[in-house]
Amino acid sequence: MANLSNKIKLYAEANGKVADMSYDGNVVLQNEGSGDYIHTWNISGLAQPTEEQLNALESQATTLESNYQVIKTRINLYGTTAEQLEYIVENGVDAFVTKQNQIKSDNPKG
Amino acid sequence: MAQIKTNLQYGVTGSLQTGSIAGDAIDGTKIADDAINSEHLAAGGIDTAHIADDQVTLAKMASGTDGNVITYDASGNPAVVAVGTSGHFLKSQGAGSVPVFAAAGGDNTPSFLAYRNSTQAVASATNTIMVFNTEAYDGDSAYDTTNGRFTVPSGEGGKYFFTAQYVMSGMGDGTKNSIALWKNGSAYTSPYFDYDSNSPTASTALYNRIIGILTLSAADYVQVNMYQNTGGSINTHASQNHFGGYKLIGI
Repeated sequence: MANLSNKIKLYAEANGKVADMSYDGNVVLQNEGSGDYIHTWNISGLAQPTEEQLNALESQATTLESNYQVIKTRINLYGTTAEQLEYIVENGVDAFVTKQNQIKSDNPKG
Repeated sequence: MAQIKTNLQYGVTGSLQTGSIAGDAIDGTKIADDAINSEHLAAGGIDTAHIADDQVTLAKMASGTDGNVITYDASGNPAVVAVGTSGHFLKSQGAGSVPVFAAAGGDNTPSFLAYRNSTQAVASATNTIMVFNTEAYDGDSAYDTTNGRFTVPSGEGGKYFFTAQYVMSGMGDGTKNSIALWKNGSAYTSPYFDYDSNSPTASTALYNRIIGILTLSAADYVQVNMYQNTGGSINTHASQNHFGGYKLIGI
């Protein structure tokens, strides 16, 4: 099951309110051992989503989370900024671009 | 009169009448040694002056309860301090009150230590209570392994010291990871006890630790809150997660 935070983010995006939303600000999600739930909802002009509205975003949210994982994997493989600069100095820009493109193609987003 | 003289002259047994003895006429030489016992003394008739110093031995004191201690009450009358719990000390309650046996200066209880030796998922951007599901000790049964709550027992309000830790990795560059002490379902704010860290890399294990001193009343409960905002769920490590605390004394 996708994270509640991602479904809410998609819900806010779909309603043009993502810029107004702040986790731990006007939206607070909580889990006290019985599952995630919306503790606080205070986005002006946007009603708190229903369970049905959130469930409808399950697939999109799952894709979003998969992409987060892909991004994390890519970042790990890219290395630190210092490592990337060193690679360029030692191998040239073309080799660097080839290497980075290979990482991207090996770890495609959904 | 002639008959009386005759009786006295001949020493007739039992013939001397009380009225025939002058007041204060019988002195100590007329009383046999060890002849007077308590039936000849008026109740309460022996005053302090007639007891010589150092003459009341332990054997002459009435029996009492094993472990009781003799003291004086607010009226200056003898009283007993009831026997106390093993290991307790005699404690003055100030003028006007009988001392009591009590623990010496408090004993830092309630106290507890709990830990978790399995992972717990933390959803992104969600305040998640960590449930430390195993107890190392919990003398007052104040910690609940099902919901992660330490609840102050009745009569045990005061200031408490807490320490907690959980370990998490896989966050990624720049993402936030935090730990906080919560009271009664929300962040403790007097002052805040929380700690935020930003992961430098996805592979870095972050040891999120917090300590705090909270002022609590009976029935208040304290939990450990976790937070991360990577966009996906992250599991805590399966070890090195703990939560403990104890009541402070003297403040």
